[in-house]
Amino acid sequence: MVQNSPNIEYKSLARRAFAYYLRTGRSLAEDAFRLAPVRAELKFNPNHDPRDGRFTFAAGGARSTGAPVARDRLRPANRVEVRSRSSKPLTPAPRAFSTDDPLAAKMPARRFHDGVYRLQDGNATALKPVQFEVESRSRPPSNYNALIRPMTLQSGFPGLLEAARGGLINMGDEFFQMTGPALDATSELTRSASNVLINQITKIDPHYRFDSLGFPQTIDGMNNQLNQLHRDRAAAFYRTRREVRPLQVETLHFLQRRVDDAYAEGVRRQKEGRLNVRLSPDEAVGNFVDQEARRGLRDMYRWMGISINRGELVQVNRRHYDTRENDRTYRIPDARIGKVAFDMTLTRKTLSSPQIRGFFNTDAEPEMVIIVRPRQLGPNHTYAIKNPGR
Amino acid sequence: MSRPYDPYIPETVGELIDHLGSMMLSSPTFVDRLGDFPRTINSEFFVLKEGLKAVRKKIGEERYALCLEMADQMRAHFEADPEDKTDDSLAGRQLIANMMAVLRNKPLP
Repeated sequence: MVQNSPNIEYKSLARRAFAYYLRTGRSLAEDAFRLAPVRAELKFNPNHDPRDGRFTFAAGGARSTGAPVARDRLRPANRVEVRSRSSKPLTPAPRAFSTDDPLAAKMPARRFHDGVYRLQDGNATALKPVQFEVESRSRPPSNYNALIRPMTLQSGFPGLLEAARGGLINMGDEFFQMTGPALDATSELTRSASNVLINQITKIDPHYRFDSLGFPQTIDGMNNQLNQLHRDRAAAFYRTRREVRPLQVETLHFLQRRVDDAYAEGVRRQKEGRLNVRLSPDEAVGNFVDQEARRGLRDMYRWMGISINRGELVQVNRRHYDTRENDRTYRIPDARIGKVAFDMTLTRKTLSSPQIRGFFNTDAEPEMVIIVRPRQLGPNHTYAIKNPGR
Repeated sequence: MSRPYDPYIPETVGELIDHLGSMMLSSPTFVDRLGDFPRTINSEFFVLKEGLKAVRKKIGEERYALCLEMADQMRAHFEADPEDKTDDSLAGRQLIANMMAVLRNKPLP
């Protein structure tokens, strides 16, 4: 805890950021330590059950001991020791995808056997080995997971599934940071993550071939390689299975980066008087940010081999009509991927905005609209609004 | 990025204006600051001119010719001031704003 380290106040921001990274495995911008010098830190411990904080005997927390456990190697084959984990009811932790989720089925998952004795096919002695495989001990370090992005938006917007209709759900603080380009990525981690992603993509698309001139030598190059592989994975899902969820995640990630960068550049140029505008500065910068991000999005989809023609699941800045009324009206979201619309803006928009209500009223009936705003605008810059009618 | 860059060519006036807005923030070098795309001044003006061709019928010969002329002047200004230090870049960006107005069929700013 910070309170226990009085000298930490005298450390430089960079040093404190690095110390924080060492303790928690999370990389924060130095500004985070300037703005909030004293803040409770939570250290990640893989041997703690994330649901109740109790100590467990193997990495994986609830998965290790959340279910009855049998140690068949130490007992006679037909004798089973059942150990109850807790008397209080366990609330299932929210999962990125359910077990019948097509995405989950295609991804490498930790195999788990709870070791409970069950009569199987009449064989009373059949007992599955306890726990999941010992591979948990040889898994890559925790930072490795930070380099692999989740594949559904649910992981980026905690509470999205449970949120009420019309609810507004902020993007989790961790989402962009943990899934963004890791500034502390090392060659080894990048190589491991790249191999995992390439394996995932080739399982989806056996014809996939990763074109590379060699392993990148710079941090930027490594981040670009990981970004490219994440997009390739999303594109493979979309092209082979018409699965849009990974593409939604990659689109959000791409837009957030482009919007942040364009906003910073626009504001800088405007302050230096090197931006030719006749509108108000905010309006002009906002327009340029939108235009730059939309243009980048079109380039990205083309590069991914994804069509954005009219009628496709992926649309960029196209009219979406509402034909339910006699007078046909339309709205133009900046992008729409399946049932998720994206709108880039500098101003905070809610369900009370006619534009947002209009998006929901279009024939496409998006399930949610994601408002993408520059991170420079402060906490809760980017959020999702659920369709009030669904 | 090891695969060849095959940029999206704008097909409508709106897409062309998006391209110009993007150029406004990346001029005079037009290098992609995030490294997502290997953009250069050549690729940017190639996209601009191809986009103008795509909307030629829509905007008419007169405006098309005017935009082509502006594009050439624009490029010359940016090439003359690659470090964004002189008024050449400002003049180039003014031409971007002018071309946006022409495409929108509005008076020049």
